[in-house]
Amino acid sequence: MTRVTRQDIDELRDSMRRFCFQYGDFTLSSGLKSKYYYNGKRAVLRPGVARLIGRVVFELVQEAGAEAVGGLEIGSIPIAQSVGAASLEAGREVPAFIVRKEAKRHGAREQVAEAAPDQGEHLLTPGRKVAIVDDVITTGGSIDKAIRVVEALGCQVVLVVALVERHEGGGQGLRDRRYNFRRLFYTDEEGHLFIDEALLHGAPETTAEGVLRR
Amino acid sequence: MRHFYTELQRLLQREFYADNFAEIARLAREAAESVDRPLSFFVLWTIFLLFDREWRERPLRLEVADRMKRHLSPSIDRYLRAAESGLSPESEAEHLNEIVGQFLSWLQIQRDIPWE
Repeated sequence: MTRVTRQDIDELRDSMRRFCFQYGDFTLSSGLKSKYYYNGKRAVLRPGVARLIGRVVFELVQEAGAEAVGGLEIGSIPIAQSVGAASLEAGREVPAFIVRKEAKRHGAREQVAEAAPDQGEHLLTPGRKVAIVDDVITTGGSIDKAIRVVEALGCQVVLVVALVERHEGGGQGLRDRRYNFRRLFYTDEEGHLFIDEALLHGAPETTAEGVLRR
Repeated sequence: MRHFYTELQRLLQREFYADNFAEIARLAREAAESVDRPLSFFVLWTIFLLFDREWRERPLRLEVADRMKRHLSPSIDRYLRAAESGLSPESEAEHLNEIVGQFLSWLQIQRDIPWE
């Protein structure tokens, strides 16, 4: 598989701009007001866009050493599958998992749907390095839910990826808590979409104290 | 039981958005599971659970949220206020019929609201 290029990222940004944004006065699910509404699924569910996203996110997954990728339903599902497809192209197989919004029964195990592992009964087991993905981060609530569930199963979250970080800046909360948070794009208050240039220049630096520095 | 009515009134006074629908649904379910006559709370739970599922993955424009609140809140608020001081089964049924009627007529309105 060829490495992701600037042209790939530009193409992806153009698709996201074209398909994912509506402008007007909206109330978000958190109650926050916004001048735009972002719906990542409108792009991610297009096979061509999904293939690009899979390649971009897979590079981050590989760099972080994640062994499985997933997140909260519904936003994470097509992304995790795209990463899995990209991993096959690279000669690996990164399996996926889904964290349900509502537990079917009590307990973290019942709150996940997971691919069958190569060995053993469960994919999400103590010490497993996982990546959490989502199509957007606003306040960080959805990603937090997914992190809590996989950590309750003993997994190590080595990477958190949002395709878009909205201007509310939910990613900073994750960085403050020392998570390896990466984003592909970010927006301003008006809903303009920008490329996170750090994506093209490798991972953020890590200081001796383990603090991520951009 | 009295605090359920007060708390539901407080949540209804907020604006309408998905997390608030989920909070109302959660509280109504908790109330339904805590009382001997759970019908009214069950109805509220069902209504707001359906709203949460509908609007969590769908753009909610401010004018739609306001319209939804104006359409649904009055009948629910009237019921909650009346129920605080006790209602006969007949009166409770009248209130619930009004709430469900408003909910069903909202579904007709909602069907015509474009997704995009």
